[in-house]
Amino acid sequence: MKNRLEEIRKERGIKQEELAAELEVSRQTIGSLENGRYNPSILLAFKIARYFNMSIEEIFLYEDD
Amino acid sequence: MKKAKHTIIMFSGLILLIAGLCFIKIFTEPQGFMRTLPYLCIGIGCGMFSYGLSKIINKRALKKDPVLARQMEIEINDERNIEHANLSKAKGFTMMTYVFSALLLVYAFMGVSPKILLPFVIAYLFVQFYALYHRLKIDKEQ
Repeated sequence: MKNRLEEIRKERGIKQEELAAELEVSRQTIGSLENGRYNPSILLAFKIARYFNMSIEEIFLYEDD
Repeated sequence: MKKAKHTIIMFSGLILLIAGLCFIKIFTEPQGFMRTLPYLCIGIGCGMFSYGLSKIINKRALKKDPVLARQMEIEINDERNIEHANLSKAKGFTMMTYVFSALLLVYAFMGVSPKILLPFVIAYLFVQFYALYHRLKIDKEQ
């Protein structure tokens, strides 16, 4: 699943480490999410969306594949 | 009690280790079970001692560094790490199933005594049924 996490994070000038600490996940998880190598759980997706004050669909792009 | 758990484990291990060494010294011509008991005590004692000691050292180190403690907590509870650990365990279990069955077949062809083979078969079936039980339980719950 593709996402705009890196783009949104950079737009807001947040480091991976800071985001990881806020979401209580490892920095590697943020890296994997941004690279699209890891799909988050629905809970983490909600946490991310809530952190950025956006909806899940605005961050994670569903592809019918 | 919870605080002292690792200290108890460490000292119990040390006692077992010393007891094992004493058994070797005392029983110069051991018979039956006493032939393996000292080494069993040493093995289990070493394991318990090192486990307890490592936990105590780890706890002290984390107490001094709350940032590291927080980071450790995050790493342990990180959903990706948990997923990877579970996936590795599942792969390990699948591999164990193949290796165990191959080993059982080899033993059977070697004509090994049923006294040795049967506990292996029972253990193998127990593990398989345990996995099946949890599969059904999880399916029912979720």
